[in-house]
Amino acid sequence: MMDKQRKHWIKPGSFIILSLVLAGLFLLNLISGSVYIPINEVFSILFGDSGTFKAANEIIVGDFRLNQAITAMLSGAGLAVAGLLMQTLFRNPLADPSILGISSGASLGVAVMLMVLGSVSGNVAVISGVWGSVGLIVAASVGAFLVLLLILAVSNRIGNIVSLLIIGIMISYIGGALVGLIKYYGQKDDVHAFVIWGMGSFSNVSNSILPFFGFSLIIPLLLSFLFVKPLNLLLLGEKYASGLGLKVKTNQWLVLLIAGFLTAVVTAFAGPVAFIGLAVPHFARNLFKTSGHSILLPAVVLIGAILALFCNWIARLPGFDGNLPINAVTSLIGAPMVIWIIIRRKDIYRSNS
Amino acid sequence: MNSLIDIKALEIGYRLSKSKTVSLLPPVNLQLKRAAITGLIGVNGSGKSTLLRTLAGVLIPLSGEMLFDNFNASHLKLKDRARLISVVLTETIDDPYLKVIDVVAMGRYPYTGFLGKLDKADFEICYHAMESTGIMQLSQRRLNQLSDGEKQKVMIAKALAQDTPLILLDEPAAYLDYPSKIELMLLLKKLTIEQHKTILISSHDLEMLLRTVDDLWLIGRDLPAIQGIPEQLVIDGLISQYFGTDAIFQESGHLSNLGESDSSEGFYVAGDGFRAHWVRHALIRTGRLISYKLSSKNQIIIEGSNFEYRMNGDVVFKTSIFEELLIKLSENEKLFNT
Repeated sequence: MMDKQRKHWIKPGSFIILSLVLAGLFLLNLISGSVYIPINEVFSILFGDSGTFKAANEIIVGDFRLNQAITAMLSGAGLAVAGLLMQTLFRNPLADPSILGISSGASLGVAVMLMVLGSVSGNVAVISGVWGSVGLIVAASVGAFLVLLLILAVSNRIGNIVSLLIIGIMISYIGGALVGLIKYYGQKDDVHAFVIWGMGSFSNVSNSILPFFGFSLIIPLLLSFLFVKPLNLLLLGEKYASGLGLKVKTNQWLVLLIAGFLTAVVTAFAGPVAFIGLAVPHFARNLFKTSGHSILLPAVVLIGAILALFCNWIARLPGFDGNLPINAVTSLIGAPMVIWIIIRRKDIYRSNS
Repeated sequence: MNSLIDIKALEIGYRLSKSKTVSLLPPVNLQLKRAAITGLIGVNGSGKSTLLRTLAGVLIPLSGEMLFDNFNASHLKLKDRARLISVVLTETIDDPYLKVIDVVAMGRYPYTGFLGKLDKADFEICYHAMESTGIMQLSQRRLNQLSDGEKQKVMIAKALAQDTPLILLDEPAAYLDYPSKIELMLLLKKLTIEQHKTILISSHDLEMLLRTVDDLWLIGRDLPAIQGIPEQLVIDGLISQYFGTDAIFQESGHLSNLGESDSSEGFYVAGDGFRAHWVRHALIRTGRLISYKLSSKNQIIIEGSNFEYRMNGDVVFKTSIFEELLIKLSENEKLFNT
């Protein structure tokens, strides 16, 4: 009985703690960076309490740190949900948002844009300025959504969802190969610009495009919560799920659409951010000891946002002179996390023999 | 009505395109007995799974009909079908965090709304299902901590929670060890008696089905599907015919010859039924004959744990050890043959 009672408040308790951590990290992202801004000033800036802060600090927080923190939060949540959906859909703990080749489609889009425009104008000027970043976003979106459309079209023609996984991986290879070719013939500066894009960044989203970015992530995030029941049924596999009355194909297709859309949007705006989508669902399952999606979905939203904010904070620590590539930070933090979870999981498997 | 499902001229198979179809079996005409276990058996590739999956509504029949209580069920909506038919498959679920109760509760999903929220009555049904399958004490255990036999009981509990008159099992015992198989079959039998479930189970394990099912469906390539009680199908030689070999009953063939053996060389075995059965088993296995005539020359009398061998009424030896019994019988036979 004691055990049951304890379990009852572990879940709400964990959610409260996670929310507090999220709020704390959000503030930390606003406070720290190349310039330290005291917390009371940050609050004044946020809530429009004029006169108590320096104008320069208002610009730093309002135009840079705030939208960067929001971008990181939304991207982290989006990738984590996409990862969870993919892992459930493919019943594979290694599935992640990039597995369907959507990220590699985005890379291809960016590579094509950089190299084509670069060779037309003879210069890499395109990359700089507002138009440069919007151009990158458009190019990545085109690439990502073309692959998503291709995947969705193909998924109707094949009987087995695992085949789709293989097709996705093949598309990744094709994308990677084409990017390689373009890089080979590209100019040095363009290639460098491409490499920088490939390292990911949460600072591409300016205030003017932030509402659009937020809208295109929050809608699919909310929609994913409508699929709690189908996702739970899919844990039993396609046959059991259809035996329980689920229209398996339709639901798989819709879940694929949501996961792919989230991935495409995040990759278009922040570049291919690795590991959050793979690691966060594992972390959430391990923390809440459940595979049920009514718990996991809100949990991965929170943990994804936390992890992205944490990585963003590390990447901008004063000693690192500006921005570390976010992709490197997420991988360096995400990969050990997955290893740790797998080693701990071994205990679970051991205890049954 | 004695049957729950009437299958009439049902053609099963695959649809390659709109006009091209591949039919796996001649049109099937079968009746599924109500509140009984029916076994489905046939050689590999004869279409057992296809037939089951067609009944389950996963595959659409090429033609013909399935009358479910006189109601044509071949075009039922998936969700309505889930309230009539539940399935148990070969594959087990391996998720590190799913608990037994979570899986059993999934059986209630066809009855829940959009969010899949279960109420108190749903949980009552789940507990009852776990009680019926004897896994109540496992309810909070994680699935991957269970043995394969326990996992299949969980899936049967899920099927019970689904509260359907019909349960279809597709090779549920394929990965189970022998005791778990028997336990599974006994559990199914109990469900037909106590809860009036109608059960259709496919299996490779002919012997297991012969020992337990009330009715047997037999399918084979290019042969019409037939049904009957297991013993009838054996005696009529239909099982051998459908499997295309006589080898299956070679061993039990001896057993069925026992009654006819009135040779004076046969052994008459008397005593407690269980031991007597295994003594006969050992005698047959070593190539001897059994006789049911009291006047038989060779007699083995079982008293307590002792086997007593009498020849022409005289006690030759006594032993309590099976191996010694067989060895001494051989020695005795050698003595008289030379």
